[in-house]
Amino acid sequence: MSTQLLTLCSRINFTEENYQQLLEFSKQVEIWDDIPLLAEQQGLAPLVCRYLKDGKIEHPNNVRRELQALYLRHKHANRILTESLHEILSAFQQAGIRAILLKGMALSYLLYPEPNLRPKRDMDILVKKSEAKQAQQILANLGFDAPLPNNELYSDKHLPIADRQSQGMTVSVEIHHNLFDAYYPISMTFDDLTVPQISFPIDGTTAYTLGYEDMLWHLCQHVAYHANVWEPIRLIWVADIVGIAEKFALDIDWTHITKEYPLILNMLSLFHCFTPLSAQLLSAAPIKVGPKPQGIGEEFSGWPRVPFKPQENKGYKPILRATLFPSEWWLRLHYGLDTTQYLFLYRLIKHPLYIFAIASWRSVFAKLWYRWQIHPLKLVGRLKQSVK
Amino acid sequence: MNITQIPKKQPDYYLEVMDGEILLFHLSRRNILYCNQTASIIWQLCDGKRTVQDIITVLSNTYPESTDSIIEQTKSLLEQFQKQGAIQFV
Repeated sequence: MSTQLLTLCSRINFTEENYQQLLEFSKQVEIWDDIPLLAEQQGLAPLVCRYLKDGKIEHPNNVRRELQALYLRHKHANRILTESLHEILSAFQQAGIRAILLKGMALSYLLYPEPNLRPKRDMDILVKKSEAKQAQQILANLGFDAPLPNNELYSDKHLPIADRQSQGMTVSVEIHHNLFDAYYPISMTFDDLTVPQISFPIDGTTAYTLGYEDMLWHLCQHVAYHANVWEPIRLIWVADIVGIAEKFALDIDWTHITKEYPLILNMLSLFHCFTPLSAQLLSAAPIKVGPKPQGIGEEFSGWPRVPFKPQENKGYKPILRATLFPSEWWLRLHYGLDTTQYLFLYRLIKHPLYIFAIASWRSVFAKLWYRWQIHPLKLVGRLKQSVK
Repeated sequence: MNITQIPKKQPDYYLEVMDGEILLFHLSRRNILYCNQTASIIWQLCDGKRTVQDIITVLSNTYPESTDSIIEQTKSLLEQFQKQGAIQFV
């Protein structure tokens, strides 16, 4: 029941109906003590804290206090990050560098009723590739430990992470020259953006972020990249995507999205299953709503995320089943399918082949990894860059 | 604890009021202290200049009716702050 409670809270526009559902779910929660940690892992602690409080949902005092503490920590972290951001944006502006804020830092001010409700680990800033080194140099001048890249190939989407200690926390900045790593099948630089950037205020300063369509696409690609067999996705990413789509439903060019970025519609179709989309969004966007898939919110729990070991009295069967037959919801998310598309081909052929490919890849490339400490995918990226 | 000692706040501890409660917490540590009004005043008086005796005097002047309990209460709260790592005696 804690999973259902958290998935319900993974939205920004919390309606009266959502509060009713939250009340119902809360009555069925057996172990409340796990909620703060689980919520924090999903990036949802401040939202859960807010919704339980505003909905006057009864929950144990120790849980309330832990959530309060997490909220306050994020609030202070946000203040420190925002102070640093002002400093960085001002320095970039003076140097004539155009900067586009990506992900959490932009979304917290653009979408959330209060920026403290969106936890952030770092700041992601997209600049022109030709200005990336200069931007990194400016960070170094501002006191960041900001190493320059070892070579000109730029196989990573961002320059080495720049860090600075500020009021007891590490402020990390990633200067992006591309939205995706070089080995990723797609690429998008500052000059490739398909729609105009949008401006928004951050405590009196004007900042810029991606246009709605590019932003949704970037965020959906981020989820698609992380919805893999190694790591789980975070529910705050769902809140972000659903939040943009709902808040700007009437401003978004859905024809452009249908033509260029159909993945966005497929993801929204899946997210609708556990955090129902608003009627306005459903009427504005051509989102296909099919039957609810089995195992909503159930993450992949097979190999390689979980070690391939026999379980007591059950042998290898459970791990094999979890590896080859994951939940329908996860399978659709991983392969970018909406709730109406047939799964047959993916269930019986593509997914088993994918697992087989990982097993083969691992055995062949493990030596490469151990001998030269080079991630095979990064090697592919470097080769692609050198060919260019 | 000696009343001539000077309590000093440790960096990165913050005092916040939330939902009517006063919380003292560290930016990266998990522990958190829930304070009453007196505890929050004592915390604010731990400026690295005032001694324990100075703090007791300020509180006694503010709450003359509770002078008897203030000495013990102040010492006990300062010990709690020290135990949590929120202050150090200099």
